[in-house]
Amino acid sequence: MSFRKVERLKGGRVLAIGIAACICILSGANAARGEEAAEKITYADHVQPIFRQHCFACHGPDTKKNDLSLESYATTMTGGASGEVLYAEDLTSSQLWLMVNHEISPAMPPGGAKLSDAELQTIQKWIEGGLLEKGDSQKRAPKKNAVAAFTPTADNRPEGEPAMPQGLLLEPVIHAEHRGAATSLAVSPWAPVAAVGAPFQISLYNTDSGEHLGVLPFIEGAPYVMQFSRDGSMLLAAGGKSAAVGLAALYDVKSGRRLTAVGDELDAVLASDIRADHSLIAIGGPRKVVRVYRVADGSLAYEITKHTDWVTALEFSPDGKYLATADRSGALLIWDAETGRERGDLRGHTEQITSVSWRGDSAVLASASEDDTVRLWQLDGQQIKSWAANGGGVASVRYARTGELTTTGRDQLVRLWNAEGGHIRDLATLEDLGLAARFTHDGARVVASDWRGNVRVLETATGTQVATIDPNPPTIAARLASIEAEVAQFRTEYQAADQGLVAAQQQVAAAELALANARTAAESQAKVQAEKAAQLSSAEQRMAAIAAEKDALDKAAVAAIEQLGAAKQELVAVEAGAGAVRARLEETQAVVAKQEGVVAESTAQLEAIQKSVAEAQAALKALTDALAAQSQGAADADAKVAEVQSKIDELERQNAELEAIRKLREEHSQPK
Amino acid sequence: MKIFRFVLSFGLLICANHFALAKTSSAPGETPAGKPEVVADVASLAVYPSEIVLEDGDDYQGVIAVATRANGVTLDVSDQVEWVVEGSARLEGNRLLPVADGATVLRASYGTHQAEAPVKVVGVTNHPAVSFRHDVMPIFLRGGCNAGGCHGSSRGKDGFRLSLFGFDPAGDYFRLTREQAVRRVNLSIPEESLLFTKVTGKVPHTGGKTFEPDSVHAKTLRDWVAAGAQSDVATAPTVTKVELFPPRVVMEGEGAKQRFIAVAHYSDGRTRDVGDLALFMSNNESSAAIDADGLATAGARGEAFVMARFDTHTVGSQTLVLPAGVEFKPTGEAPANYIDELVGAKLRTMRINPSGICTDEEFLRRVSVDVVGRLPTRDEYDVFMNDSNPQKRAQKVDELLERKEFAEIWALKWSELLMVKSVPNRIEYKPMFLYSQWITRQIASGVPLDEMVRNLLGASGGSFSSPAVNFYQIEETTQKTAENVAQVFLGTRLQCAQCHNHPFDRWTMDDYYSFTAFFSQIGRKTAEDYRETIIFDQRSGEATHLVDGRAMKPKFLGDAEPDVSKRDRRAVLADWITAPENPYFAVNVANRVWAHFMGVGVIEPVDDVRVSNPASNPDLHAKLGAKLIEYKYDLRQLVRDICNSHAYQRSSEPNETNSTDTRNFARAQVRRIPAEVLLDCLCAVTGAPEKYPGLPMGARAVQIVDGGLSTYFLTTFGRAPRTTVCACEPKTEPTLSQALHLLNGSAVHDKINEGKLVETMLDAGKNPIEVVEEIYLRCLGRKPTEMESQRIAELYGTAEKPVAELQDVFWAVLNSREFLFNK
Repeated sequence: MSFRKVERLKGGRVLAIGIAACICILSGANAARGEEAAEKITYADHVQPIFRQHCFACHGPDTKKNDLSLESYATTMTGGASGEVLYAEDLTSSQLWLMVNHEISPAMPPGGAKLSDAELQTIQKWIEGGLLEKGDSQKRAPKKNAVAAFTPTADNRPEGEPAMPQGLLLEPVIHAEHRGAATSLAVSPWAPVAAVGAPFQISLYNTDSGEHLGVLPFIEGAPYVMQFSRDGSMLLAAGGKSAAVGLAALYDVKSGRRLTAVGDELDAVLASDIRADHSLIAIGGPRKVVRVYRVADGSLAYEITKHTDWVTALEFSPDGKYLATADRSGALLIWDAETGRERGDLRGHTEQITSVSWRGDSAVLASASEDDTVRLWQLDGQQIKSWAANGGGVASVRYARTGELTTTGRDQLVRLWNAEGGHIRDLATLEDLGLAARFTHDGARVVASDWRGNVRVLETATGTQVATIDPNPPTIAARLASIEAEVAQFRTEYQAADQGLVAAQQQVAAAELALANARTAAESQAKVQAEKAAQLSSAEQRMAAIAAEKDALDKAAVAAIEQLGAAKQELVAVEAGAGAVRARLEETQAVVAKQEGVVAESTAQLEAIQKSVAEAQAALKALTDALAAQSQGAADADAKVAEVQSKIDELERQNAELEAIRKLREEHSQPK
Repeated sequence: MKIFRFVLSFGLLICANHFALAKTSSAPGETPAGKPEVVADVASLAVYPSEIVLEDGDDYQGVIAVATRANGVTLDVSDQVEWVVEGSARLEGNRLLPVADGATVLRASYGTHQAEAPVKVVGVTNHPAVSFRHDVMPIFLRGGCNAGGCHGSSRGKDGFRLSLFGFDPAGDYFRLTREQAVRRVNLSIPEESLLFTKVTGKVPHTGGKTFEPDSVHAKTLRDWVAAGAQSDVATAPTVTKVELFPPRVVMEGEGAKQRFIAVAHYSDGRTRDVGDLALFMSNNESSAAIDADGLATAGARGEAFVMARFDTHTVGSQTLVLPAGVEFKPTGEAPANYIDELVGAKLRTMRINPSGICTDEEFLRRVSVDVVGRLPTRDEYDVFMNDSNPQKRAQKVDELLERKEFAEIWALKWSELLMVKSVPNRIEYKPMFLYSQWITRQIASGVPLDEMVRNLLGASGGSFSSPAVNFYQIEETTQKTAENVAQVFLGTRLQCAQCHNHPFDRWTMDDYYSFTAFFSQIGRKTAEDYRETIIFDQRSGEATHLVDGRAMKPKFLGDAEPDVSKRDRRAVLADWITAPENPYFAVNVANRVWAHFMGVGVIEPVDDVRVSNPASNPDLHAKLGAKLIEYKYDLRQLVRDICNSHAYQRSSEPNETNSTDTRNFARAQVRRIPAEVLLDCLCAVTGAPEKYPGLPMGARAVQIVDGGLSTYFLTTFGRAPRTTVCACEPKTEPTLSQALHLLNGSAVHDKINEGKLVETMLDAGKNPIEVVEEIYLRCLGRKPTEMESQRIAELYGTAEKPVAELQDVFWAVLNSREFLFNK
């Protein structure tokens, strides 16, 4: 063993030298010299005296509180009851640092003041400098390399189009009077589909549009856990009634049909998953037993009875080889998925594990716990990484296909982490404690739910909220009523727009009158040569007024478009009105041309008139464009009315279909 | 020979019959069948609560009417009176409900008697939301959910934990709503909440169905969840007081009923009927049992304290149960002093007659053992019996009080309470010796008790030079020190409140940690001599609350937060404890003295004063304390009062009315003589002294300084091991090893042989009759009866020096219960 260790050390040294060489190449000799010149902070010379003074009383040779002894370099590196407390070059993962720097609770040393800045700096430099033991020690290899070597592998991509729900029932089993939490949340790995659980039902939504896709009844109780199959074709929903009934049901995503149900537990199922090849379903809950059923015939494949507390999380690895199970006391175990033979005991968490998630290549398992940490594990049981993700407790952790992670928890934050556990950004602060956060199929969005019943769809890149999902969708009757109200609203708005059109026509008439006035003025100019200059300037002013009025007309037309629901008849009327305007404008043009001949000798004044005409033409063009736009808006509104009408038809059809089953469910949902 | 003695001890008629068994059957009287008609001899009528305020549209108040008969018996006539209320309120059953804002009067008439209560109604249009703190939390106490055997256990039950008796509402709120995020409450469909389905038994529940689904409690839980399961822990007003009506009840005859109502007062000035939420209890179920809704039913003759617990408050009503149809004629005995007046008043209410006054022989032995821990000598006996002065008993008391043994007895008592005891490697013998001497000197020189306590609690310095500091040397932990001070000087056991609010008293965890703050600044260091410790005020250090780690300011129990910035916190506390206004100290010390002489305290146990353990005679309890203050804490004066009272001088012979009573001082209690005194008496009567380590030959057991030193005899007979401050440490319960030790062990047999009393007397020319008389006088304080003399004479016949026979007689006397007991 020691030989191997030496080998590994050597390897590490080679690597370190390699890195150093790189640095030399990249940053030149200066940097290299600087690194050599900097004093080496070591355990023996610098850090142990600090520990001795402040920490040994509790974490020393005699008392090892929490199994942590800082007495020697070896014991310090071993860590305490909760695992390693120091990670080379990684301050944010080093629990010891976070505690002495008073970033997490409990702050150390307990009760007393913080260490001095100088002492803290020493510890910081020591960690950043690679946790050297003595002056001639080599740096410890940073562990994060294990994570960095991530390459996505076979990803269970479905053949053909990913499954999207089609033509599902839209009528909820029950529309609860009060707002309550989404009991569970799942997002399809290949299609923009999210499933949210609520008592007696699962609602499916499109994560791109926010559109409600349908309802899957779960009349046995509440689905406390949901998972899409790895190819996205099936949805597994498990739960039941607390302290009474527990089971897992499998639905076809496309048709919404319930394919099968397994389990007959005495308490609700809290953790469940289906293997990638769809052969096995595992369930666990407060009865402390994990039962794994064969999907094909519903028979029990094996039981896992090693857990001593409620089973709160489990997941099959994406390659289907392993099953990870976790409990309320912090135990995390890995099993051979086929046989149920134990493969690993991952010790570290000190409180309830709330969520587990496998990385896409099945090589790393992430676990989230009420002890505030998310931990990453290798298959051999080695803890790769541990960091405080959500203060007060982490409720959910999920891998994206890219290796990033999202978590949420008691601090109400939806957080995004890179594969090494580095904090990328916080996407949102929820209204109450966060329950679940899931990446959408393309990783572009995160769906997050909280205790108050909000389910939000957030942009991964910015945290912008793009949609909300209602775990308690309204009934079709309520939706009909709201659509009817919407149509009535359209109607009112349309009438207002109609009135705007009339006003515009009146304005056009006024413009016509003004043009006539201008013509009269030009005519009188031909007769009275002496007054020509004054009259022309007056015409000029009037033309300016017309231009202003036409601007106003533009604005009114734009406003009308915005408001307009549209209707063809009105459009025809508008077009007719516009035709008249056009004719009159042409008339005006003719008059102006005629005037041109009359006032040939007065070139300067004529140019002014020509300019006015050009302006009038521009106004005409704008008006024409506006009318064209109005026409488009009317067509759109038409289409929407038709769409709504067809939806209403569809809903009504489904409503009638559902009537019978709905009565049954309402009885169920209204206990005495 | 031993077998012979064994038989003899049974043959002798020494044991008097007054170690009588308590009679358990008392005439129950006739049970009144059906509703009583209007009772003729009613003297007054009362309506409770005497003032009613209804403060919102959902508010209500239960009302009761209680008639008091001329003989003091109370009747619940709520269903017999004619109720009238008009205007703002209306009556539905026994509940008064609001109708409109305004004021009105609730009237009750019963025969010719009238009673009324003013009613104020405000805010009928308000319908406040369910409060987590004041509507939901009490349900867990009432339902027993947060009891220690259920979810109140520190590990919870079946995966769900509540704080024990609800000491941590914020934590309970968290565990109910968010610990297992969506499991226990279902906001969207409240009836589906596990909280609701469990308590109503809709799903399997280890605790069974706690409430019916349509009960008011289940509805409260449902409504709370329906309104969003909100917490008002931080903002809710606190309960300032709880009242229980009626305040005093005298029920006659088994089966008599009385309904109780509980009213809570809040810090925002509101009042509320908490009959549905309070927990009703009785400290004597066989006399007065009470059901969950506050209906008490009379049982056997006796006395009970009926209590209601709500929030952190426990209140009680004294409830007497008298047999029906028993004629009672009080004996017209003139009281000797205030004690007899107060004891007599209680006895008359209970329809109990006291036993007669004991004989002079009985008095002399009793008072000698109690006051100085010795048996009267032959000379003392002769002088006292031949004294014809009617005041001779009082004179005897005065004489005994001046003897140094009196101080030794009380020094022993305090040494037990203060746990004077060397502990290997921790507490040396020398400081303990000095400490014990200090205590003895304080009492012998008549230092008032308050001064002694101030000297003790406020002490600083070395454990050699100022021995009083050893109080802080014996117990070094802050919390235990505080608990000990509360128990020894205030008679209050705070221990419960370390981890949860006291379940049967008013003390909360806040009270506990505020009180420990008085002892958080004690500094200790070793002096030059390693055996000496120096106690000093280090003027820093705080007591922190267990739940949230708050630093607690020193606060007197149930009193103010004093200014401790300038003084040693302990001295501030000592001043408060010994102040005449302090409601605990003087009465507690007086009660301990009383219990020493009467065998049972007015409050019993003497160091477990709490709301739910009230004084059997509150007036007497208060008066004894007041007298001690009046006497400037002079112990001797109080002892004089007690010993001169008829209550102390009663015969232990019961009469028909007092045979079942043990708490009202109607007769003398027969008590086993404490271990040290018993050994001293044994040594004295046999003339065979003991040698104790560190003391000269002939020193008495009561003088043993160190609780760590003991002998087999003392340990067997229940000497206090001094490991706690509990007054229960010295044991006087009989055990088999005590009997065997006296019968077969070295104590009696060897001492008879060592002392050679029989031989000496016979050698001095006394005849066997005189020797027997001497033995009886020495041991039992009386002469043998005719029958005893006759039967003993049969043993030795005509022998002139029947040494063996007389030694057997001596042995039998020492083995008799009459010797071991003080009657």
